[in-house]
Parts: sequence; structure tokens; C-alpha cells
Amino acid sequence: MLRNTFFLLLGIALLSGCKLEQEIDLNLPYYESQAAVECYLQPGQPIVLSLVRSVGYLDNLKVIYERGATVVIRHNGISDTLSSFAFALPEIDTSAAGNANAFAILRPFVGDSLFFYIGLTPVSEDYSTLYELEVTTRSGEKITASTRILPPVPIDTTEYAPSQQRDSLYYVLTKFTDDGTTANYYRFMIQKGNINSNPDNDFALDDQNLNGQQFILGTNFDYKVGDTVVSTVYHINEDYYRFRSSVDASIQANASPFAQPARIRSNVTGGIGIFTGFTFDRRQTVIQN
Amino acid sequence: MRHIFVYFSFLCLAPSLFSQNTIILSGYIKSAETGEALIGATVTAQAVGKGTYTNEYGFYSLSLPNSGDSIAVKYSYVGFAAQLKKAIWKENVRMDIQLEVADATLETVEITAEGFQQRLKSTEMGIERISMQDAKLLPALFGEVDIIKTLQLKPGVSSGSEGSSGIYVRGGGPDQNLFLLDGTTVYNPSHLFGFFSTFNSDAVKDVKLYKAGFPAQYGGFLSSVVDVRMNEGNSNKFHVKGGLGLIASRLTFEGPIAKNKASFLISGRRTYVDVFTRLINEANADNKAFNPIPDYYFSDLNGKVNWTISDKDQIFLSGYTGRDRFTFRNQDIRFNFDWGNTTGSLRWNHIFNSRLFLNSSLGFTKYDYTIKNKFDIFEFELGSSIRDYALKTEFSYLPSANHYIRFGASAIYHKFGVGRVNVGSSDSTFNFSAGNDYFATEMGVFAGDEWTVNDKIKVNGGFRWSGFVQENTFYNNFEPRLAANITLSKSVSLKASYARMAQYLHLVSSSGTTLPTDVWYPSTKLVRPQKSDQLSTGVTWLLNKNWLFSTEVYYKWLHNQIDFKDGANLFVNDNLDKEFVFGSGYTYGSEFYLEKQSGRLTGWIGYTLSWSWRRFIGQQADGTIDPLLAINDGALFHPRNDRRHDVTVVGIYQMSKRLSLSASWQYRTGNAVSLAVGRVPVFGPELVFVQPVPIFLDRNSYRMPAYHKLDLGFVIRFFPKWGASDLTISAYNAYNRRNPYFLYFETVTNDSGVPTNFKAKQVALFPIIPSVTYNFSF
Repeated sequence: MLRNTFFLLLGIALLSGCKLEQEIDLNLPYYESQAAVECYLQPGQPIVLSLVRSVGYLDNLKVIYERGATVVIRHNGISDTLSSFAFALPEIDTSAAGNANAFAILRPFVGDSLFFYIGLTPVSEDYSTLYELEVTTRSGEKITASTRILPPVPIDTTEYAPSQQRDSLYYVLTKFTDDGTTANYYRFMIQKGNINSNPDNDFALDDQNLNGQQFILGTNFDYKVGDTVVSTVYHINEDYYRFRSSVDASIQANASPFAQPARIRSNVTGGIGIFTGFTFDRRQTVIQN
Repeated sequence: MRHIFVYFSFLCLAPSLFSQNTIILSGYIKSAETGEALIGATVTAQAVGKGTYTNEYGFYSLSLPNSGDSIAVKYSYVGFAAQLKKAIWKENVRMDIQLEVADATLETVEITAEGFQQRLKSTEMGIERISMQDAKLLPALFGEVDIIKTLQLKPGVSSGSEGSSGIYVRGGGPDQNLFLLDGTTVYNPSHLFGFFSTFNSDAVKDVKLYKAGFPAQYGGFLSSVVDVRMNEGNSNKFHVKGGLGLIASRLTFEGPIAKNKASFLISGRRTYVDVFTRLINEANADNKAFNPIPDYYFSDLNGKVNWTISDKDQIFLSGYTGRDRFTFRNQDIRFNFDWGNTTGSLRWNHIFNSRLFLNSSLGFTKYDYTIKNKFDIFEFELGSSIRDYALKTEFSYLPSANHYIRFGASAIYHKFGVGRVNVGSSDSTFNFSAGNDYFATEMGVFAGDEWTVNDKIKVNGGFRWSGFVQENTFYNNFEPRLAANITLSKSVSLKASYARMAQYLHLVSSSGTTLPTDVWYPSTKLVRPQKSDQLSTGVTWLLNKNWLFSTEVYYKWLHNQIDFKDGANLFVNDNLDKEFVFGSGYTYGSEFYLEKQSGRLTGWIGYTLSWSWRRFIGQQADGTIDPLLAINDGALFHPRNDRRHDVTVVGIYQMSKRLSLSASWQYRTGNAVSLAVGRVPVFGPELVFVQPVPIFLDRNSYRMPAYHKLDLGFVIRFFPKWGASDLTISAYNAYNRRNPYFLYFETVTNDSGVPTNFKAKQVALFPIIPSVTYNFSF
């Protein structure tokens, strides 16, 4: 009898050991849509601002653009009113499996075009200027924010060295020195090939543990002789660091039972989003024997 | 110092307080079979209406009137045959008792009734006691008997999530429970990310959980005290017991070193899943498509030696070490993650005289975790630790028949290693270190008196003064404790209690549950101690000899509660205290408990109705308030473990001497969780990628579906010539309920990897899990 009982229990376990994950219907509470702004000022570049609306989580995939808004950026006594532009996405054949490139993934969200507000006058290389943003939507919502651009932090050097375990693979080190007199925040990006390729590394960090010291940031052993590796160190402000960290934390909170829920930390009032400016220094390293 | 002087003055005066109209019976009550001291055994002199019970060391002291009449004194303990001693007691008597194991059911009923009477008249409130015998009969996950999970079946105690051995008591946090093993703190009482507790059931003698009305000798944590006492070792004969389970095996060896003078116990447990995963990895060594399975195991080792030096002196040396080890290796990476506790204590029990008993101990405890990762020329090491050296002295004193006084003092030296990290490369290209060590001293002085005012009223009043020194910062708290029992009739009593608790250690955990990487952090100049005040009142009703009903209502205020800023860096941060935010909370509820302890069918039904709230308005360590750091916009919210309804039904049916059946059914309101309600596309600086980012609004405003499951157990006992054995068969989650472990949103993509829509998903952890364990002893 015991033997039969044991095999019965074992059988039940094997039969039931599947479908631990299942789709469910959720009645989410009503979510009131908000305007969401993103604008990243870069010296020498035109001002580009995205203005969309947040939606309920299970709503349609499509991004809802906030068209017809008045977008004004004031600096040094000048008011720039941004104009709206729509950029058509290039046609890509997505019928073949595995042909999901960046635009193909973008298309279900944005449709056939991207929509931005643009100021064609390039941003000046003036690190004391206060930039003030004012957005008024057609329905009268008002979003305001202000920011300053920080000077670039130069990369001291980049180096590469071979793996001890696999001779043909190399890693790259990027070194730069932090200013110990201020709290600083950085975004570090590594790309293989050129600046248009998907980043191999892309993360933000602060100087809390390395204030005033040299940062040495490494990569994986991903590179071979002949590869070009692009290192970019962005000098970002605290607002953008907080926004970016909170965005990462929100994404993680959705996926992990152990993560604390996090709210997006915006620096705009009257909506969600980020109005910031940054500079960067960039080096190219070609791996050689 | 002044307090210590007062104590010793008190001791010197003790003989003068001695009343010539009473005589004292005192001594140890032990098992005749094993020589183990029996905790909570009752001693009653019914004719004169006096009674007491043994303390956690098996010692009792009973005052009797010196009347010249013959008085019968009964010694009893559940599972043992009672003994009656009748005499004309003329002078103080040392009466050590050895009780024989009983079989008679009728007698068991009588003894159970005495145990119920004791609970009826006691001032103790919010106490749960686990019988190791019951714990071993109840069904368990993977067949691993777990005393903490048995505690979770009691009202007011809940687990954080499926299968977890962490406890949340009366709305408190998982870091607000004091776990004591032979009087020494165990900082992380769980294995395998919380699925199993560190307490090996073969080595445990007694478990007591305090949820309220904390006696003055306990302090340092807000919500509960789990006092676990280890077996001392059979002092009469050598004895071996063990078990072979689905995932782990146990072996215990105990016996006399010098008969009736000294004994030892050594008990070990180890999981062996890694043995099989290694074999699988080796078999697939040539298969390049195969991903090696990481090695994982945990092990425990308990040891204890006790030595009776004289009639008045006993020394105990006990220790525990347990470790979890997780290893992953392939040709590029070597990753090791291990964590565990080590505790040790040296205890001296001394009987000064029949009225005064001393327990003094030196203790050591350590919890640490280490993560080591080697990747090519790079090495990374991260770890944290807490280490305590403790000294505690406690006296039990009976100045008269109506007073039972406990007083003493304790001091703990804490050493914290917080977020110690080393990153470097073997070619010395770079090297980085961070982390801090903190040192602190925690002290306590306490006194409490259980005063029998008259036949109907008993009061237990006391206080604890606690202090904490960290660098130049000093905190201290006066913690009054008060409990009272009014016996309304022979079967009904009314109880009430109040307790203030202070907690100087804080668990840095952003996960909402306990993980091995959580860090203990001291109160500092910026981080103030947590405090709580709890009021509790209840009724105990002895329905008959078999059934006891009790109900309690409580309200608990929580002050200086701790949470962390969104996105806080809790691993490598030399200014960790700047990541804290401070708030408050309160919890309230009522518990109902119906218990049957004798007969073929035993068990209990428990129901808890409760609410738990927290508020964080964005107060930072320096006292400033930043509304951006407020949780839930500074409004009240439920913590994750807030449970409106919690029902447990537990039954053990003794079919025959050979067979017993058990079942436990649990129902509880689902966890309060935060779900993203909105979504915003974030393009990033390049403005050509889009990331759907979830928007969370109100904290923990969504309820997961209710949790319920049935566990079944079946024990078949064998009586071979060489000893005894049993086969324990259990089915965890017998009706295969898919209890949600967590919910998340998934981006659905087509075959080309292009997103199409979003859907909500629920993940369950355990389906029905049958298990078989073979236990033996000889």
C-alpha cells in the first residue's frame, strides 16, 4: 500500500508541476492620463522635445502624441517657441522572423512617424545659462521646468588588454577624473563600431564613493583585434540621474517580487518627465595586436 | 552602576524578607528517560491553592504555608506520568523530580487540563508555544519539519509569502523579531532565501513565541520574541536519531559523558540536491549547449554539553553553525555566494538557596554573507556582517509566596561590517574598496515581579531600561511592562497587558522581505531607534478539560519606522544612513483561538482580523522633510503583509499507536501589493528608442487573490527490535491551489520580437508537493 501511495503522490506532483505562470484578468483602478515631456539640451545641437501622454497600463500600445501644444524655452532673456515636426520611419520588412530591428520595435508604439517639437537654433556652450521650459497643451495643462547644462568631463585615457583566459578577446578601460568640489553624476556608454550602434554598456553612476578620484570603468571581454570601441562619458545633472534611476527602478519593480515599487522622479511640474542638459566627451579605441 | 548596587543590596536583604510562615519547595524537574530538564512543567498544591511551573531551565520554586498539615504536591508535564509528593513540609526542601513518559490517555487529559488551568491563571498574554511532538506530526514543505512554519499557523503570526519561514507578528516587520537560540540572538533564522528555518527540529526542545506582554528580561526588537531552547543531551544513555528526507538528511547523537553528571548532544543536517546537480553537470560536461546547474546546499550543526558540577551548579556550553553555499562555475566565471550564522553560549545556573536562582551567560553570535565573483583577471567581493559579544545575568527570586521576581542586566557589544566591497584586477590596473565598520554597545537593566494579589488577581509589573552607545551618540529608553490577570470564575479569566519596546538595530532591506544580503545597521547620530507601544486585552475561557478558548484584542503604535528612498543604493554606500526615510505606523486587530490538546483528535482553530498601517512623509535622517521622498504622498498605506483575515485549522488524529493523520488548512487575505496602473513611453536622450515605463501610484493599494491551501500528513510508526522508526508522508498544497506569489505585466511580442500588446500574469511557486521522510532512533 505504501509503495502505491508513494507512486500516486509522485505522479500527482509530476502532473501538476506545470502552469505555475498564468495569464489573469486584472481590474486596474482608473488612471488619469498626464502629459509627459522629455527634452535633453546639448551644446551645438537643436532643441528636440517629445510630448506624449501617459496611459493606463493595459491600454493600447500606441503612443499618444500631445499635438498642438505651445512649447517655449526661455534663456538669457530670449524666448524660443518650438515648432512641431513629424519624422516618417523608414519602411522595414518585418514579415521575416527575427527581423526585429530598432525601427520595427518602435513602429507598434509610434506608428509610421515620430513627432517632436523642435527649436532649430543650436544650444550655446554656456554653462551658466538657466533654461526655462513652459509647455501649454491644447486643453490648458501647463508644464514647467528649468535646468542648466554642465561642462564636459574629459576622458583621461582609454586602454585595452587581452583576456588571460581567451587570448583573442580584449576588454577596454575608460578613465576620467571626478571634480571633488561638487557632487557629480555621469552616464557611461560603450558602443562597438560607431555611435549609431546599440550600446554594449549604458549606465548612470554618481561619485558618492569616488568623490574627487579617478573613475576606471571597464567592459566585458567582448572585443577582438580590429574592433573599434567608442567610449562616451556624459556629464549629467542630479535631476536626470534621479529620473533615469527611478525609470530603471520602476521597470524592475514590475518584473521582480523583491523590488520595492518606485515612482518616476520627474523634474517637471504639472506632468511627468525630464528637462535637462548634458555634455559629453568621447574616445574611440581601435584594438590592435 | 547604581542599579547593580541596588540589586546586590536587595540580595543581602533577602534572608530578612524570608517569612517563617512559609516553606519553599524547589528543584529541577527532568525526564527520567533522558535527563532533559522539562520547561513549563506544572507544580501544584491544590489543597492550599498554590501552583507554579518550571522556568526555561527546568527549575521551580513553590511557596507553601507552614501549617503543620500534610500537603500533597503534584508534578506534571504533558506526555509524562504525574507524580504526587505528600508530606508535612516543615522546612525548605530541595525536591528534584524525574517524570516517567506516560501512555495513559486519561492521565493525559488530566495533565492537559492542568496546563490549561495554568494558562488561565497566568498573566502571560500573546504567547504561543510549539510542541515539538506536534510539529513533527504536521505536514511540511518537502517533508522538512520547520518550527517557524508551525508558528505561522498560530493567530497573529503570518508568513510574508508562500513557503517563507519569515514571520510577521501583529503587523510588525520581518526585522522586528528577536530569535533566540539558547539565549543567543540568531540574526538570519532562515536558509534557502527564507524557505527553511535554521532551527533543526531534532535539536530543539522548546519554542515559545511572545507577541505581546513581553516579560522585562526581553528587549531589543519591537514585535516578537521567539525563544528556542536546544535539547541538552541524554544524560542516561547513548541515543541516535535521524531522518532521510527528500532534500535533506539529519543525524543526532547524544549521550552521557558522566552518567547523570554530564551529557552532550551533536546534531547535523544537510541538503543534498547539489550531489545530484553535480552528477548532471558532469554527465553534460561535453555538451556545449548545456548550461551548468549551480551548486546549492545548506547545512546546520548544533552542539551542546552540560555538566552538573554540584547540586547547586550547572554549566552549559552550546553552539550552532549553519551555512548556505551557492556556487556557479563555467569556463569564464567563478561565482560564490555563501551566508550563515554562528552562535555560541556558555551558561552557568546556580541555586543560591530555595528562593534565589541565577542564570548567567556569555554569548557570541555572528551573521555574515559573502559574494565572490572571479571573471578572468577581475575579482569582486562584497559582504556584510554583524557580530555580537553578550553578557547576561538574571536572577529569579521568591521573597514570599505571592511574589516571583526576576531581575538582571545585560550588555552586548556589536560589531557591524556594512557593505564591504573590494573590486580589483590581477594586473593591478585598478582596485577599489568601500565599506564601513561600526561599533556599538547595547545594554539593559530589568526587573519584574509576578505578584499574586489574591486568589483572583495576579499582576506582572516590571520595567526594562535599555541604552545604546554608538561613537558619541547615546540613546536610552525606559520600557515599562505591565500585565494583569483577573480570574472571573473557575473557567474564565480576563487579561490585559502593556509593553513598550525599543529597537536599536535596523535591517537594511529594500525587498519587503528578508534576503541573505540584507544588512544590519546600528542606530547612529542620524538613525534613531525604533520604538513601539502595545496594548492588549483578552479573555481566556476553559470550556472543559479538553478545550480552551482565548481571544485577544491589540493595538500597537510603531514609532521611528524605517524605509528607504526610491532607488537607494543599499549595497555599496559609505553614507547608507542618508538613504533612510523615517515614518510611523500602527496596527490593530483581534485574535481568536480554540484549542484541543488531549484525546485522539488534537489541534486548534485560529482566526485573526487585523489592520496594519504605515506613514512616511519624507522625513530624512537629519530631520528635514522632503515631500519628494514621501511614500504614497505622505498618506497612510498598508504594508505588504497587512492581512484582513487569517484562518488556520490544524488537526492531528491519532488513529492507533502506529498511525496518525494530520491536516492543516490556511486561508488568508492576499498580500497588499503595488501594481503599475499607468504606462509612459520614455524615449531617452537619443529619442529613437522607446521604453514603456510603468507608473506606480498608491503604495500597496492592490490586493492579490486570497491565499489558501491544505496540507496533509500521514505518519506510520514502526517498532523494530533495535529502536523506533517512522515514515512520514505529506502532501503540501494537497488540492494544488495556484496561490499567487507575484503579479507582473508582460510585453507580448510576435514571432519577429515586435511588441503587440501587454497582459497581466500571475506566478505561483509551489504546486502540490508530496514528500516522504524516514525517521529513526535507537
